[in-house]
Formats: sequence, structure tokens, C-alpha cells
Amino acid sequence: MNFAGVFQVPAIFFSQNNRYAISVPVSKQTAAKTLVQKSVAAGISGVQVDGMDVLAVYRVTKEAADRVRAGGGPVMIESLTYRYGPHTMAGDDPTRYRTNQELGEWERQDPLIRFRAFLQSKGLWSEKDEEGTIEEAKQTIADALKKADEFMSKQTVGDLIDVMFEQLPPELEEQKAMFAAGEDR
Amino acid sequence: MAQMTMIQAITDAMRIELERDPNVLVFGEDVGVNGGVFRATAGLQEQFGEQRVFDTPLAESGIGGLAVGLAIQGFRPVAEIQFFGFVFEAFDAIASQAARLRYRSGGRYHAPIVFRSPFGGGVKTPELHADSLEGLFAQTPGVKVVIPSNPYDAKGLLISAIRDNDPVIFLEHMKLYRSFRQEVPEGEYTVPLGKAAVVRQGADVTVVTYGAMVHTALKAAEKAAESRGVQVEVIDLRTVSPLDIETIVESVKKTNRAVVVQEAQRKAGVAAEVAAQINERAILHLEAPVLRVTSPDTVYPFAAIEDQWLPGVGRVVKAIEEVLDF
Repeated sequence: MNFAGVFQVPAIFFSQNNRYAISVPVSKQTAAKTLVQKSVAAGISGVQVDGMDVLAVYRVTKEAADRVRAGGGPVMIESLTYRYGPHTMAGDDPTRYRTNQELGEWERQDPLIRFRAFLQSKGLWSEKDEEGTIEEAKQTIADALKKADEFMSKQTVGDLIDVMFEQLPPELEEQKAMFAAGEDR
Repeated sequence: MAQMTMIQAITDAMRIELERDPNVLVFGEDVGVNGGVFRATAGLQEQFGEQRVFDTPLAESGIGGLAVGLAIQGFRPVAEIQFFGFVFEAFDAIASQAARLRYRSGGRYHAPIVFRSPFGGGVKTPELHADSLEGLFAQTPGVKVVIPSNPYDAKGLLISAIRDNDPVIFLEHMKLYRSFRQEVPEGEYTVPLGKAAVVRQGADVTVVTYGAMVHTALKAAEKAAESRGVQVEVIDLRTVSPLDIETIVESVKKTNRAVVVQEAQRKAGVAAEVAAQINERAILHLEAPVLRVTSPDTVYPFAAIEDQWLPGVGRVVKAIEEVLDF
């Protein structure tokens, strides 16, 4: 951010502050009251927004983008949100470091629920819309997973060697040939 | 005696040293309340309090700097780098601060720091979680590099590392954390740093290796015994820097043939160093060139091809046959 300020680049620094690293809360990451105040030290503009409010996030991001594009210099946005699930599916158990009560408080502010209520109140959203959207999303994910599986299965060690350099050095040519020969591992 | 996994043995070593010496501190990302992402520090904060076992902000550079500062003040930091691929962020603190403290102060200060870290392949992690970077640190003057292959050694080596007055990089292969149990004595004992172990006796070929590859080499030795009737001697380095060259040379003088196996990429690594030193000290005893079995010189691959990329039993057997048939 300091570099961005010095060179006045057209950049937005978007911090999705979900309150935790894995188990360590933001209060143990910094004694600063907010993350966005780091922008003050860098001499760039900064804004904090309710990250659980779709329209608020849209508005501050659009304003920042307009400003940056108009040559107004970099902007930092700190979006205050929450990670509902574990950090990874490989063994992280959030009940070791936070309470269900805390989780519940954030779930009540869920951006999807809030935005749905807003759209329904304007007559812009129905149950049918929602079912259709969910079905479409499920299909998109299933298709993407299938495609990814196909891609992965074709990768070889030779492919990996090929992307190390623009031009393969002789020692890597030799290693590639060794793998191409299907050496018994 | 108790049956322990390697991770239990590591926790046990830290508990013993925290109890023994009030200057021992354990810190890193998620090591406190959470007990570490692999549970290596489970229960330690509860037992020893937040002053001695604590979480740090998410910045390896800060963890490294904190360890150096505490060491200068007389503490004995045991700092966890959550995955060894993240150590690049702490390289400055380790290589240009901790490793040079004794030299820069003319011996007045030293850095009794242990940087513990999980590493190693075969468990399908994302990028920068599995890298074998021991070669970078073996080439860094002023730091020791220790890599246990089993629970017994892990506990004894970690206790030695914490008591050592110089910085030690202590690497824990993730695949070995819970893959088997072993009899581990209760209470304190040490396994000396800088001493290799002959884990299988043999008169025909010497295989030098360390970490998870010890188990691959032992399987390859069994295969070679079955298929060729040859007896392979397997040496577990345990400490890759400084190297126990005496044990290696003694074995090579007996077998006249050597293969060095490492999980790390091929170039400029521990295997290259071992091969060079065998050539320097025992060339007239050799009946064949010293061969290396390693991964290819690429970044650590995505999970889909890591099993092809990592050295396996077949590659080690082939190298053993090559030095026999030379």
C-alpha cells in the first residue's frame, strides 16, 4: 500500500476481514482498532464497510473504482464480515476457538438473507426465482468439477517440467526423458 | 514406555522442556488455544499459560524476528512455522539474523532457537505446504538442520535441539506424523544432533537417506534382498547439517557402493553434498559412481501427480541394481 501511495497507482486494496486467521482472532493480529486505518499510514484513502450488506459493499466498491479510474489514487476498503465454516476441511474444528453464540450472532446478519428480504419487499424476488437460481448454481458447480477432474487426470510430470523455463536446460531435458520412459517408481 | 505417534512424541518433548527450563517459550500461528494445525502443541497453553505458549499474528517474518530478539534476551524460543513452504517469509530472520548472531557478536551472543515445521509430500496438500527446503538451510552457515524419521528419534532429537545453543531447523515430515507408533520412553532422553543411525545392516550397498525416505529405502532394501539376494545397509542421517560423514564413509568402505535418496529436488541438495563427500574421502573404495535418487527439478507438483513425482521404492531398487551392475 505504501508503494501504491508513492506511485499513485490505480489500485483498490480490498480486505475481507472475516475476523480470524485460522484460530487466531483479529484482536490478536493487531492492536489497531481497525484494519483500514493502515491506509492512513500509507497516505491513501480508506473506507470501512458492513461486509454483510450487499448494497453497501457494492456502493463503496463502485465509488472506489470510479475514484481510482479518474486518477484519484489508491483506495483501501475493509469489509467487515465473518467466516462461518472451518478454515479448511482438513481437520480445522472452529468449536476449539469460538462459540456457537458468536457464530449465531453473525448468521443473523447474513447478507443473502438480508438481501432476499430487501428484494422481496420490493417485489423483485420469489421462491421460484430462488429455486431456479439454486438449481443453476448446483449445475454450474457440478459441470466445473467434472471438467476439473478430466483436466487433472491428464497431467504428467513432463508437463510440469515443461513450465519451469521458456527453454528447458539440458538437465531438465534429461529428467523429462526419464519420466517419459515411464520409469518404475 | 508408551506407544506414541511421531506427533505425540514431539508434543511430549516440548512439554518436558517447558517443564524443565522456564526460559523455553513456544509460539507460532494457531499454537495456543487451537493447539496447532496438526495438534503438536495440544494442551501446552493450558498447562503452561499464555506467557509461555502463545499465538502470534499471521506473519512468519515477525515470528522469526521475535525468536531472534527473545534469544538475545536469554530465552530459548521454539517457534513453529506452520508449513515449511511459508519459511521464505522468515528466511531473512533465520539466515541473515539468527544464523549470524554468534559471528557478528564475536561469540558474545548466540541464538538458541528451534524453528519447528511440518513439511514433506504424499499427503496431497496445496502449494507451499509440502516443499522439502532443507537444502537451502543446509547451505546456510550457522544453522543446523534436523529431520527425524520416527517417534523415538523425534523426541530425543527435539530435546537436543531445544538444549542446543545454536539455531536448529527441525523438520517434521507430515506423512510420518501419525503413520505408525513406536515405543517411546517416558521422561527425558536425548538423541545427539549430528549423528546418523545405521537402521539396516548390509555388506553390499549403502543407501544414505533421511526423513520419510528412510521407510522407502527400507522397503527397497527388502525388495533387493528378495530379488537379488543382496544385503543393503541403510543409513538414516537424522541430522542433515552438520553431516555425520564418518558413519557414511565407514559404511561405504565396507560396501564399496552407495546410493543417496532424498525427497527434495535433485540439484545442489543434501544428496549432492553426501555424494561429494564420499568422493572426497573414499573414492578408492568405490566400485561404482555414487547415484542419487531424488525428485525432478521442478516446483512441488499438484496433488494429482505427486505420487509419480516423489521417489518411490521402484526408483531406489533400480539405483541399487545400477551400482551393483556397474
